[in-house]
Amino acid sequence: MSADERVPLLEVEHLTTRFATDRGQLTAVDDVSLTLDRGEMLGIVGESGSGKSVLARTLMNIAGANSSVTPQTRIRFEGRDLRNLSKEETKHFWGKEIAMIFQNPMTSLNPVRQISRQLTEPMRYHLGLSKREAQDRAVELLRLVGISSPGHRMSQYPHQLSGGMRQRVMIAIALSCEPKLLVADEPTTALDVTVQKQILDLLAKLQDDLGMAMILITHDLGVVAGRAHRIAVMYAGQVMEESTTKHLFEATSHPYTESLLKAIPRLSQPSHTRLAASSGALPDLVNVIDQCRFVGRCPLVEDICTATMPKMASHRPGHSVRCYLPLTPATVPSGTNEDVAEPEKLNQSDRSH
Amino acid sequence: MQSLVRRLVQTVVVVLIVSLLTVSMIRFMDQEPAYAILGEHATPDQVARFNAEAGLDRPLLVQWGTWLQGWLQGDLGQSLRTREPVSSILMERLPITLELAVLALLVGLLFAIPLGIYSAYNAGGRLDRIVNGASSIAVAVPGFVLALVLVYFISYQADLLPVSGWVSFNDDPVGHVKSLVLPVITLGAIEGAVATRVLRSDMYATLREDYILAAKAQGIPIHTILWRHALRPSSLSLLTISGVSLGRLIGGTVIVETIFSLPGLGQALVQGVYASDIVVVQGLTLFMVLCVVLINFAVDALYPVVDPRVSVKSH
Amino acid sequence: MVTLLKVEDLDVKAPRRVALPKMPKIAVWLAAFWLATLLFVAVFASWLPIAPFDQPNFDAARQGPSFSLHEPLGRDGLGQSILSRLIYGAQISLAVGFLSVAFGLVFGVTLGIVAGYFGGWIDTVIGVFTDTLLSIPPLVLLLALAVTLSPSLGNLVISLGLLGLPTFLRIARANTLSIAKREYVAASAILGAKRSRILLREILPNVITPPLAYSIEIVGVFIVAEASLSFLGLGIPPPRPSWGGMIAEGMSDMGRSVHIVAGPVVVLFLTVLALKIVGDRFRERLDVRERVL
Repeated sequence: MSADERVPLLEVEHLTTRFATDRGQLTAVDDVSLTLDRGEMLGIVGESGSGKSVLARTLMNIAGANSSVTPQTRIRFEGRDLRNLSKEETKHFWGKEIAMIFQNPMTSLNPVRQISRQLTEPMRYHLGLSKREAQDRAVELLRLVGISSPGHRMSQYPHQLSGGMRQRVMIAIALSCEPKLLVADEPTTALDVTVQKQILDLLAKLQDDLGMAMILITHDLGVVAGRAHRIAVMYAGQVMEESTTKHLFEATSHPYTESLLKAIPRLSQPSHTRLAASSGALPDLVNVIDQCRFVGRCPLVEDICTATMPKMASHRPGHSVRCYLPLTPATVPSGTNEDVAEPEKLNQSDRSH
Repeated sequence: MQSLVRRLVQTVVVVLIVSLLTVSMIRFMDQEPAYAILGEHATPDQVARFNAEAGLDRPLLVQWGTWLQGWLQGDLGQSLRTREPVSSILMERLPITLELAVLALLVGLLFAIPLGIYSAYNAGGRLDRIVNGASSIAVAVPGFVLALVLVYFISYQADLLPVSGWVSFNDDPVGHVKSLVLPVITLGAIEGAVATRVLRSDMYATLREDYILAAKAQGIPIHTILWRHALRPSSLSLLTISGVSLGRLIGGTVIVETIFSLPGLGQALVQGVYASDIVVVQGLTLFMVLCVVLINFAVDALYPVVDPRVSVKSH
Repeated sequence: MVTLLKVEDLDVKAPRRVALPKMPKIAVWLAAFWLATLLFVAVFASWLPIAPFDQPNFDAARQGPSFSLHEPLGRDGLGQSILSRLIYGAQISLAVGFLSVAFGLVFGVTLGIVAGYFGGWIDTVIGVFTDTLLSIPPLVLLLALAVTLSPSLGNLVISLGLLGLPTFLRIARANTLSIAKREYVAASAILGAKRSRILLREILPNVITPPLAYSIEIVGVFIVAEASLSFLGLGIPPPRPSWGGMIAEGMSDMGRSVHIVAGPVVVLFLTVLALKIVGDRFRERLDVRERVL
């Protein structure tokens, strides 16, 4: 990224989201900082429980009634402080400037409302379009997302569409008010493999065509590998590693990221290859211990790791990691996987497909 | 389509059985209606003549057949006591009961829908606790307890509304409305309480669905979400309950009509019972059964309208 | 090897728990206390130091309630002791309530199990019978039976029992259908157990619980139904007092002697409310145990 005078599209600083639970305050997202420029795609990768969905929902202001962010949290969109929007601004911000699509297309559309109603509603509310105008535009949008005979689809109900089509409709709704940022929370996890690629390609194309920024959230590193500009890896509510895609694969620094890489099945591996699986459970997010959150599963734990929690540190330009002992080519651990990555192999092209 | 036909056949069978049972009621009676109406000292001759006139001496199946035939022609028999055709009793009194039942249901829903919606939205909060408590009590309160409490405080103590008596709309519109206020509140409060609880329950589940979260992410204002997005998917149980309520109301206005002296079907039925006027009882009973059956049918037909996922078959 | 997640797997929703605010514990204790007291005075009425229920005293007619021990609830239009009449009326209400629920439960559950287990035409016939009963509005059914049968305790119990029967039947039938499919019943059959043994040992214990859970609340419903009938004059005939009858009598005097109608109204309300509260808690308890099974 060249030095740019423009204000970044999205600046997140020290975002911490907590939930009030029976056992106490649960810190689902801890001290996350991100930046996103116009037209950029940021991939957020993590397993379930990593806080990635909560992060997305916090950004969208739908984290839930029993959630709260800390005072240190700063979220700025085009320079505007999202925590201090006026009432008027709030009404037409989410859904218009930032839009979101969800994981499960089977349940994310209202089953008793026609597609046309669901598609035109945000446009009529945010952009003030008339019914006619909104409907025309809705048909256009359906065509844009690759749905055939869009006019016919308008009067149908969600249960009459397949999973892939429903996800396309969701994308159309999200794009309807021309948002500057699209947050996609595991948009393909619930779809068949063949449809997954179609949807991901569609999203990438739309992003290019519309100059839209995107945050793509997934548990599968393979999904963001060829598509995102930058990737942030989350674990137990924290960002563990954050860098450009190329560096993440070529100079993997965090042991957790390394384990994610090992878990990607590859056609080049023999078909009976066992996948590396991490052992150990997630740390307690209510009674937080001041140590690295990954100690339960890290193969390289040393005393310093359990002493205090490591902070995010940039050990290379554009590449930060939260670890006292970031991996270098010489320290990549050998796991249970037969196909161990030799240090030299880290630079081979098959890693950054 | 096939199951619709099956439902229809089932319904017809049920109606026929009910008609047969009501016709055979007379066989189980301890005291023949003749004695009840003519008096205990009636002579056997008088009794025989009475029975012949009323067709009570013919075999059961013949009675049944004649009766059914009469029904198809609109002849529901004649009151044993007053010789008045049951059909005219029906015509005269049905509007009153119907007005009462429908108004009660509407008033009940008028309160139930917003209360159900907002207490689900506010789940666990103050409104929810208050509504839950009030509806729990309302559901447990017997109809005539509520009626009497209302009458005491509003009519006797505050003198705001008449204690009882019915005024026709044509005679005095205001008086008509006044005479209906307390009965409608009594009936509506209970049905409304049931509807509120049912709606709150479904609403609570619906608000946790993904598509509601998606609508919030699209920036749709919360009140639009509650009324336009969440209400319809939560309405199936409400529809069922409304149907049950209406059926229950039509057959259940008896007590309220008695307390408030409203000349409706319920009162006519009770008077028929007092006089052992079996024909009136039979006719009104079968009529009410028909109403219930028709209402159930209508409710089933409306399910797919409320929720397009439901086909007529699947219910 | 990665297993592909099926879309249906992800569709599994969390159970639709309603998360209603809970009934305060004190309410349940008070309700139970009221019911116990009522039961006690009803059973031991003849031994209590109260006036007989049918002793008119025209000099003291409509005497209001006093806070002394002598006629604390006042007297009715005929000068009879309201307290006594309430207590003796309780005998009727409680007897009718419990007996008719028992009737409905026994016959309903039996027929439900039979319908569910044997299926076929037996199920159809029983189904038609149930539908017929259900298509008649409750009070109408009671009135029709009232014109047919003479007003005795037995006939009242049968009438109300018939009213509640379909509900118990349906619950029992639905549970029988789901349990009969389960493996341990099939295993029992394979091992050669006789049908009756299967019914008694495997099915009955599991099927009886849900209807039983509702039974306490239903007692309240039936007490109201009985009161409605007596209110209309179609319940147990005088001189035996009944709450409904007392309400009917006291209604005309509401303007000047409200205590005559207030007594039975309040007692009826409290009893039904208490049964509902206790019934709710009872049902919750049974539900929990069922899930453990």
